[in-house]
Amino acid sequence: MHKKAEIQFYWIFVAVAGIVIFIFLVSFGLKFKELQEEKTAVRVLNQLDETFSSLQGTQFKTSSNFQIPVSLNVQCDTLMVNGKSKKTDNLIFSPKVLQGNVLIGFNPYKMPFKIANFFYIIKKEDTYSFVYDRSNEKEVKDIAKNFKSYFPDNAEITDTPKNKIKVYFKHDNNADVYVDSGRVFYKDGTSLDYYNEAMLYGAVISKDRCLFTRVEKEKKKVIEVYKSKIGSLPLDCNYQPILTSLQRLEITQGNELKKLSAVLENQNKALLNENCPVVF
Amino acid sequence: MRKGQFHESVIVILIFTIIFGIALLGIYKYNTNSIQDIQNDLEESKSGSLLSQLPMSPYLHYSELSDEKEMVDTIKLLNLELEDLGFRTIEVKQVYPRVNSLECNKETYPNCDTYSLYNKVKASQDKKIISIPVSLYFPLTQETKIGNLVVTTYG
Repeated sequence: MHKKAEIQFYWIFVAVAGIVIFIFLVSFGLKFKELQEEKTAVRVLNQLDETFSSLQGTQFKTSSNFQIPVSLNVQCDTLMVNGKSKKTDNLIFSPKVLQGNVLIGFNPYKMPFKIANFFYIIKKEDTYSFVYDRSNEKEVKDIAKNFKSYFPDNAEITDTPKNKIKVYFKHDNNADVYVDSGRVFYKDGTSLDYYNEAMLYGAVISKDRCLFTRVEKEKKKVIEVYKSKIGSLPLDCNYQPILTSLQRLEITQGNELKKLSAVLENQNKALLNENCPVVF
Repeated sequence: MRKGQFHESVIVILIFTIIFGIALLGIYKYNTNSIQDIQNDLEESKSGSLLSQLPMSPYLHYSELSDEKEMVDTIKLLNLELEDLGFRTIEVKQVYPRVNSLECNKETYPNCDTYSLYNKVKASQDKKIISIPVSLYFPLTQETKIGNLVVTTYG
């Protein structure tokens, strides 16, 4: 009886030890897999962000294509892969989820001095029709030509739209997006203001208002740089008008920005005529 | 079953567990080191990207009538404070012509050689320094000089 109990205990001991080791091995394997996935996600996120950042060094409008191997979530200032996120300083206008072949357009945003660079990312399968009619043909062709230059195979400027995303320049029931009086309207009833071509393209691709808020913040930071610069420029030159305009630009939004931008440009030009160093 | 057999099994399992534990510790160490390596790689690549993008960023570059020049505006550097960029220092040093070895500010400008843009030092022996040449533009005298943009990353 004593011997039988010993044998039973022996097998129970071996079984328990085996189960413990097995559970340990499996959980370790799973953890290891998880860690490797996280490492890959972090690497992918950083490489993507670095790719965008390296484009920041260029001052020209440019475009490129790109392969995103994993599902990438783009939310305002955050890139996310497999639950891992990374804050980005780049202003990325794109659909919320990207994977596979994507096309990237890149454009410096000026108001009237450079404020930031805009990245436009679209999926390769997304195609855009910029639709004109007889009343606005020239205007639409002018507005959309740079978009077409970024994405030549994915954009058309036409009066008979065939592409997936239809952008009209007046209210139309067929429109996915329509543009009217400095504002971009979406199918769901929401809208966004735009002040120039760079912002219009951004609003057509992404309806994320948060990006426009970041543009505002970036604008304020750059204005601060120029205001500081004025403080170190010669006192015998009159920088007061341009300083006042910069202060106004800081708080101005909407279509007023366009006018103010033109005023600033003229004030800056006038400095050169007076043999004074320009501000921008 | 002999009592000795039972004890042998316990010893085998114990030795197996110890060896297994040591192996796991080794893998854990390897992973920790590889994560640290990734962290260092990321910091280095961030420094590289800062080096390529800063000269053309609106905070640094010189523009004339909104036309961006491939030059750093030295007046902009005087009051510039970059936002949190981790443990690194970023400075622009004038290398030619040589001038006084002085930190640049409103008082010493333009007879100085070092513009400090960002300074967050970590008490660490491990640091990597990378730099690129840049053209420095002096708007008041309309001169162009040669400098280096230097990024030091602390590990």
